[in-house]
Amino acid sequence: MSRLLSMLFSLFLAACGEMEDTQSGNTGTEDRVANRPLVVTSNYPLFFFASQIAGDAKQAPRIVLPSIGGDPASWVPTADQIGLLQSADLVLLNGAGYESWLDWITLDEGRLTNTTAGTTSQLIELKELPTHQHGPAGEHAHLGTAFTTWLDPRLAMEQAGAVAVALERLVPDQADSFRDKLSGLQSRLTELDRELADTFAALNGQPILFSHPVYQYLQRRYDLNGVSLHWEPDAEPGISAWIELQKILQQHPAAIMLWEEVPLASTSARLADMGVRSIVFRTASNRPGHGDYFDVMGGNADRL
Amino acid sequence: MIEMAAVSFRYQGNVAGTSSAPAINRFSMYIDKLAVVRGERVALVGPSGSGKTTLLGLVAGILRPDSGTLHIHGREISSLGDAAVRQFRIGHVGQVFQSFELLDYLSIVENVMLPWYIARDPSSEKMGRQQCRQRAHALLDEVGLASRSNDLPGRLSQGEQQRVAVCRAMLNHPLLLLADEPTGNLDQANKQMVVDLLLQQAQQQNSTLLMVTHDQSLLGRFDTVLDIRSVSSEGAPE
Amino acid sequence: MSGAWYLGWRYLAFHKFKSAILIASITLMLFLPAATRVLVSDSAAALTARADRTPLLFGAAGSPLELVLNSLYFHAGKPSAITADKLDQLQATSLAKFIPLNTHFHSRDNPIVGTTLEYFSFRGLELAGGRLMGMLGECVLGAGAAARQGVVSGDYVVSSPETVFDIAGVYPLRMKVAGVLKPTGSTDDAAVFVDVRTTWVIQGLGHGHQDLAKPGAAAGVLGRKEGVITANASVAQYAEITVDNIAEFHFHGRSDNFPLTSVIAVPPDDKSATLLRGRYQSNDEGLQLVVPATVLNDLLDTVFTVQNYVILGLAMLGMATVAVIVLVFLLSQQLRRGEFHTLSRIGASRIYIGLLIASELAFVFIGSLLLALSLIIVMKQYALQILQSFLTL
Repeated sequence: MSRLLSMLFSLFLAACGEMEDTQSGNTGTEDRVANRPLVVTSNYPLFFFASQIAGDAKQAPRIVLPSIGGDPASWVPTADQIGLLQSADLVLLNGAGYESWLDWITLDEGRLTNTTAGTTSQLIELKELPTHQHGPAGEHAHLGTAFTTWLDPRLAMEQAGAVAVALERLVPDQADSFRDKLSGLQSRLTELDRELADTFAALNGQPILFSHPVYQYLQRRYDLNGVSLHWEPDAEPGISAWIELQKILQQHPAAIMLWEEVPLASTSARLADMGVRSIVFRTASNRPGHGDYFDVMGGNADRL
Repeated sequence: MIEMAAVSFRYQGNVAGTSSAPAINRFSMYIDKLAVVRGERVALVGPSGSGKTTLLGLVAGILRPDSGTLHIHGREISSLGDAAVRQFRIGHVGQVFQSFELLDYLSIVENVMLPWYIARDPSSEKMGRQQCRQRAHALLDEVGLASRSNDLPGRLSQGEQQRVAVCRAMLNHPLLLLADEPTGNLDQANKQMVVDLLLQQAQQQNSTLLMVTHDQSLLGRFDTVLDIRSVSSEGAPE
Repeated sequence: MSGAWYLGWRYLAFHKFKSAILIASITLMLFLPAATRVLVSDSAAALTARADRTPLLFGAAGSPLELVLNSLYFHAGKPSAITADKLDQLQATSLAKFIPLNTHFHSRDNPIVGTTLEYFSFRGLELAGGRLMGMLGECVLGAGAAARQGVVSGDYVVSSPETVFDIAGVYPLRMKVAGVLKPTGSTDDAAVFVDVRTTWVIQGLGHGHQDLAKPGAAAGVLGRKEGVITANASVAQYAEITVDNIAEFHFHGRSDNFPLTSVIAVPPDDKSATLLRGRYQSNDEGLQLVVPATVLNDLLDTVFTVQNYVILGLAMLGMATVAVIVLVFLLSQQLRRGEFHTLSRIGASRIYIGLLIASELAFVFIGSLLLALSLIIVMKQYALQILQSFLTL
């Protein structure tokens, strides 16, 4: 009885806070849909795919890539950028653990689309846990899932498809246009896939090196015989790194090392002395200085 | 003005009175003949219990005679119904009581206006509210109390209260002014003043004054001194 | 005004004290039962409205009432928790919008409600200033909570430790106020809203370390020996998540096992609702499904029964009051016999005197009635708010 009275009293107190409930609802999304919905992407490839699919018609969704310095995988959104993400009608995510900031940013889950959600079986799990040091940045470890999925044009096509589906849900009126443009984009990705396949086929399975473990999907797609190091283009490798490289080269006599960016001249020179040629293969994760995704990937193929 | 003939009256059982009037049992009186002319100022005297208050009550119509006739100003009061008698009393009879009997929750001017408030339909009476108020103020002015018209009776002296009671009695220009020992609770100075006031008002209004008093010193000021025993028979100690 | 009415009014005005007591007694006699009924019905309507707007609620097996009270009204109880993987299971059904809640903690007297941004649109909550929380460690306060804690956007609030002697060393979390909501007159006004993951940080399931090896922490160091740093009591007594240290915050264990108080389900249509209810009706899989409106109606039936008994009691009290008032009147009339005699002698009829007494009764009763009505109107407008300010949630 006393428990019931306690609950009744609590109910009464709760009712003290309940005079009326408003039910204004949220019409923000509906307003924004009427005035070009906002789509924010977490990296450049998604930005490019979404831009291609959305097109530039008057009522097409606005596609935005926030201004991110460096690799978007390390992005720490500012307060303004968090506000931008929250105000977006749609946030296109790469998935596969790419957006570490999702762990601590508050977003409306209903507005997020993981573009690799439909390809989880094809994602590459990282099983090793090497610890290492990059100069003053301190130690960090790679583990979880490899996330540069767009380097595999077939996965890129899947992602583009997911982008199109999300845009269709956002603006059903323009679904036909999105599908048409998706078709065109996928054709170009197919062409890129063929070009890269031809390029990598010329290597004939020869061993190569990857300066950083970001080429997993490329490696798998084109069956590359590669080993990953943990070198940064703008950092001088330490003595232990060179020693480790020598050991690797004994087992894996690579003549090519792929870099995300142009390495230090001293590094590439020393590598050249060791018989390893440095080739830049950009991941296109962020907005290129010039050109677009296909230009970047085409340039990569050319350099190979 | 007042004509009584063969009037008999007997109290029926206990009569509930005010705290100032004891219950009366088995009192009866018979008045063979009584006549008072208009404007006459009569002092009514007699021993206690001789029926002076009863006579006033009969004249005022408060008490109804068991038999006989009572005419006041040519009108047979004894044959009127209760409502008509009350109306007559309100409109034509002014009364002053020994204990003043002002209402303590009304201001002085409102006490003077009391007969107007009691009248059945004030709006149809000869005076409207405003007129009545003016009349009351004028009366208070005559007795020197106009400046205190909004005071409550509790703030007045006994003499002042009785003056207000006299004003109340005079409100409706009464034909008949009945005073039952109005000076009984006053000191000598106030006695004289109140009696002066009553006599003056009676003269001014040409009202017939019938005043009960035990004070011998006042008798000389009246036209007639009437001993109740000379007009009535029987009685009982009051 | 008829003379009797005027005299009656003047009598009451002269005897102010007695009149006031009589009016107050009758007013209370009229007001209390009516106020009880109005208060209960208004409370019930308000509670029911909020429950009606919450279609379905999932929680751990146990008391449905406690689950509803805690999830809808942030009642300070501690129902059993469900794990976050249940939310994933529910979301996988795609049968509704699912909004998690974790209401285990408080910031002073204000409940901390861990949830998602969808809660704000669901409840129609709008910002009065600032913005919604953007990251872990930020909060949005209801209007009442902000007023009570005297904070605005940009200020900070701190979560309250669960016990005074918290030997586990889980420090309170200092949270930045990102925004303040407009008042709604609902329980949400008293709440401190955070990302549900922030509540896991408060619980100690995730934390950041104050790096005592860094030069800035020297003041907190008691001694260093062989790589072991001993801290003194000046080490920060609260945790705070900022953009600078967010990278250091991490959760221990799988988030699937982290606790939630409940999950609100908002199906888009009746068919989805039916499917959802059918799937979880048997309360298997450690989940209880309740319809808040049904739970509340059952409780309110009890409340109304209690109310009827209360009103019955008040009615009996009222009868006793009437008896006393009648006695007072009768005694009063006895004391006024002399006055009535005077009036009668001057020419007042018995009817007139009866009317005089009746007018006094009428004034007292009408005055009481008007006063009681006014009080009920005022109470209907403000009582719940006044009570809320005095009886903190």
